[in-house]
Amino acid sequence: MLNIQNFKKAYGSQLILEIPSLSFSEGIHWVKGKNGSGKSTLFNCLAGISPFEGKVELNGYSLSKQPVSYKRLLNYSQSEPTFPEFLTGNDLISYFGQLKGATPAQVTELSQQLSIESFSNQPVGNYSSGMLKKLSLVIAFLGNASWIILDEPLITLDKEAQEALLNLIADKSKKEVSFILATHQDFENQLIEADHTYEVKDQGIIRDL
Amino acid sequence: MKAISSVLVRVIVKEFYKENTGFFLVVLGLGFGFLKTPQHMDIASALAFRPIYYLVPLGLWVLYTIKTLNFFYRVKRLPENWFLTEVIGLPNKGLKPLVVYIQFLLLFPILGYSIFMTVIAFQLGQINSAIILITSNLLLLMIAGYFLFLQLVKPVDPSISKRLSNWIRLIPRQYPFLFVHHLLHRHSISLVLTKLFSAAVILGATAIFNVEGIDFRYLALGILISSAINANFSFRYYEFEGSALKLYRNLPHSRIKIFAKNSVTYLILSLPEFLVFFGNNWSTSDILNLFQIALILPVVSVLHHMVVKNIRPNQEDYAKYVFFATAFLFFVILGYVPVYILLITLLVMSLAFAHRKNNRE
Repeated sequence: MLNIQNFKKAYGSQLILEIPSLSFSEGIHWVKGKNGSGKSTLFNCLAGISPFEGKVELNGYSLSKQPVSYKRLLNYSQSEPTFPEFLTGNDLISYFGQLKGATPAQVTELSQQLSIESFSNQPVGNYSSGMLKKLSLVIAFLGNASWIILDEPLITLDKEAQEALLNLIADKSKKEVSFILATHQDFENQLIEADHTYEVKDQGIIRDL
Repeated sequence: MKAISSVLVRVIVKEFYKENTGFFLVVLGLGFGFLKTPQHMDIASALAFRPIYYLVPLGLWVLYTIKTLNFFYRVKRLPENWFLTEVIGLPNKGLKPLVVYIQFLLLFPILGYSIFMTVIAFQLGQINSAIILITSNLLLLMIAGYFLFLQLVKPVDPSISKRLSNWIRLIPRQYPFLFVHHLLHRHSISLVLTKLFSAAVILGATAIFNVEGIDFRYLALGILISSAINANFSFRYYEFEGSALKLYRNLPHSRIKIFAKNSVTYLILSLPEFLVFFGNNWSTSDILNLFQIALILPVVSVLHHMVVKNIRPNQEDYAKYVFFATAFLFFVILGYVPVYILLITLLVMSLAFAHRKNNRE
């Protein structure tokens, strides 16, 4: 269970998002919203890379008080991932792999599933946006996270990678991994179906549209 | 842990040394060019007998430490470095020694010099002085490491202060000003520190010139060193053009026109140095001579820019290039080559580079 209490995010005096209380139960959650509504900002905060006011807890672990346990349980892929251009994909996979406790076998399997082995030894400065997205998705599946947040996971991916990703989500979902997805595309198919849908709107969030 | 450490060293430590190539060039030039090893030993010995004077190097070391922390403060806010915060996922017993190790590498030049001074103090039997040095450096390392730790694990948004933002809005938005906007938005601390340091070098060169009173080469060498301090902006401008100004590549601008616009940017960036330089010399020196010498800064910066555009080196190779180019020009100036000849030669070389097909535009 991912609990949000008295959440408030602002840039200076400009309020972006205010959520008095919200709980994400286990399952697949689809967060919708117009461009600039605050979806990515919310995800950055839940992933602990952007500051906010309020309380966020995952399975009882507080993001501010028990970040080590919290971060092991939650992985994140940004909508438009960026990394220092001189690092290679393998550098970043090893970095996140150690932080998330991934095994070499898992790294190999994910690299094969999302077809990144052919370029993962190159600096990310040479990557196309699709290649960067694939790398970011591999990183998001490393370790044994019980929650994975994927911001616009399908954009810039080719058809094969989109299918591979949906299979990965379906597979992980069966193993009781929960997902929070933000996408403008209709990702639901025979493999996966959202348990709840939300809309980020007017600086707040509405559940089950 | 090795993979995490390797990434942190490359993103923080290597980038710090690359970005401050000009700074280290000047410090090495001044500290080990004018002063030889016996003089360093004399200074270390004198300080060992009067430990109260350790406050002077300690003050400089504190400034250097602030420079490292400022660097990290800025680097942490770059959008591509969001992943640094993720190290909070490491348990404290692994993370804290790692942060101290990173800070140790950042402080290596001052810690190395401090070890030299400690050895001298021990050799002279000044145990108290040696203990003062060891304690103060350990304290500096631990305090800086603590601040680095806080910055590293703290979630941050890439942002600028509102006051600065309001002020930046007044600057024009034509092509030559776009890189100035970029520097003020993304690298404001680095810009201010670079300009302060560059101004200090010009003031130092002016002071030496005033004592001697005739030889304009002192001023020219001061401006040349100032160009080395500013050299990282040429590399950044090249990167900025390749990323944020891609759109302009498709516009019907000739290479020469872009060259002229780049040159105007470097004139604008040289304004703080011009103010310091002319402000301190116009009443005592011939204005034409001063004008020629002042132009060394933007002209050398333009040359660096055009070389980078053609050769497209990585930052490490660029640092080497700047070092050797500055050293070469240093000896050219020492050789009494007239400044206007030097300026014309450098401009012709820059134009030739700008006109080559290999150029991005």
